[in-house]
Amino acid sequence: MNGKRKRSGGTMETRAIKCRTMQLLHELQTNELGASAKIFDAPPRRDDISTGIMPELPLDKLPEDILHRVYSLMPLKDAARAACVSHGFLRCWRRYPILILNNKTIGLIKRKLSLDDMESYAVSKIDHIIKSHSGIGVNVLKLQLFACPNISAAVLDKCDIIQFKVPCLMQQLKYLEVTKCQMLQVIEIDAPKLSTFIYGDVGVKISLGDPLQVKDIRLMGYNEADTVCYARTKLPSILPNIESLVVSSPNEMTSTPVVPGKFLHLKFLEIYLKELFASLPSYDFFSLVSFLDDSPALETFILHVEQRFERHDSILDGEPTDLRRILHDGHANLQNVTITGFNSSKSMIELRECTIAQVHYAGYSKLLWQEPFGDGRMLSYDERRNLGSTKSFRGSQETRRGENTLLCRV
Amino acid sequence: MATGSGAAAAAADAEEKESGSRMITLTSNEGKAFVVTEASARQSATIRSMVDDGGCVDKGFPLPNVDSKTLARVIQYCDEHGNKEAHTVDERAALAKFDKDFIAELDADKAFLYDVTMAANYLHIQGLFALTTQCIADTIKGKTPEEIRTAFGIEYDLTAQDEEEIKEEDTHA
Repeated sequence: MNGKRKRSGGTMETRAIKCRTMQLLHELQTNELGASAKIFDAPPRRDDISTGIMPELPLDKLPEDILHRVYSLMPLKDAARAACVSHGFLRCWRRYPILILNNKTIGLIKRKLSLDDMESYAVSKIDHIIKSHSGIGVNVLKLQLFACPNISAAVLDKCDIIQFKVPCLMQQLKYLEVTKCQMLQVIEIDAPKLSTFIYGDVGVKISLGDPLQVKDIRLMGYNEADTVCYARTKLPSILPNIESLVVSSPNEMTSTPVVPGKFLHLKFLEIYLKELFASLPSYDFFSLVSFLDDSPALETFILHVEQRFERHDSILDGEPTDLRRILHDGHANLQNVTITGFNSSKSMIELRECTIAQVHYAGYSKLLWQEPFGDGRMLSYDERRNLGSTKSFRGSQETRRGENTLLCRV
Repeated sequence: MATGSGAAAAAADAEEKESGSRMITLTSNEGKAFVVTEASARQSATIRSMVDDGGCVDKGFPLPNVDSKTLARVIQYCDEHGNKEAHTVDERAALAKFDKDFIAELDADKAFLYDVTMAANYLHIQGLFALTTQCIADTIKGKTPEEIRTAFGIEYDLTAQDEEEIKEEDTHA
């Protein structure tokens, strides 16, 4: 194997892509071009130029990045066919932004493999190809595999893919993770058993075969603001049956709106608000009540706030304020409320009061509170119970200043 | 084709229409100065960012990578897209017609087309770059590898190692 290592690129990577190249070429030649085109044809004969084309156009005069751009504008079939023109063209083809991975193009069809081996072969091959295109700018990725009965998890990470389409039925796919694909606009997948779906960077058009199945979703906003707002407004219609929702937002520019659409089955809600900017102290924590109001089955609500800067709307500085309250009764199921990074801004106090009221309504009476912490902010603490896989709770001794924790458990 | 003085005259006309707009001097690598409206110059993201960063507008912008012939043609595009409105359907149709004629003329002289493409890339004139690269792609499209090699004067330079590897994949895969 090592003996075949090329100057440019690792062997495996090269082979994986070349394999794809060759399969496409083979397909094209047998289907369309007949015997007229051979892959390794003789050095160019310069006497039979197609009509209307000037000979000796200095295409290689163009810098490679422009050639890549030109290449990416060609239709797939032309691009595949042109791959064996020269070394430069082959390099362009390796960076061609449309990846169609099917039984033929990944070289599966010619291998005589058992079903298990086929799957592991396909998984490793696709993994290789996607990794080797990572960061290059894949616009379209189509997976057209054999019906993959046993593939149960898929992870797509850090790709510049614009469309992610899986046209075949992914019978056993239970776990799909699509993160850090900043260019991604469309996700289409038909996976009837998909139950855990993790995706980052909102604004993606999602089409899942049976969205009713999805119970567990994690929405990780890495760069785009307002992930929480997106979750509140869009998810009830896309994934109406979710039971567990974890949302991470790098920044919320808008407060969470009150919109129609309920999370009827949501039991667990965890929200991370990171890096709320000092210049935008306007995020209204109380607006998160929108989630609580429309999640009648909610049992656990966890909010993590990481705020580098002091907010200037603290109400412990003596300014008397009317706190907003919800006028109706809460739902009977809320049992656990945790807020880390608690601060004394008006909207945070309001949120706390509201959640306490709801927990009270649930029929419990035991709430544990601690004395105001250091600079006057409230800190309450109790041990954590049954909160699943979320970050483990730190005791009050370890709670650093600025990372105050409010936890009420009943 | 727009000459230096022609571009300047066109730019002066545009300035009359759009009072308050600054004029910007672009200098080719042969030292020839072209005076254009700011709106025209702003078609280039490179120049736009330099203008927005302040300063240097009075001194003008030397473009050491662009010759006069290419720059004149690039300015012709920028004038059309920078100085003319494209709000109504008719205005947009006129621009599309301009693009079509513009690229058809360039297509007849491939070497010049490449020069304009490289200038558009260097100056970050997105619309022009898209126009010229698509034109080149269309030329390659629909040809067999051999025809491409012949038409574009490309040497067959796949190494024996390349070939062996491809063959191996092809037969064993």
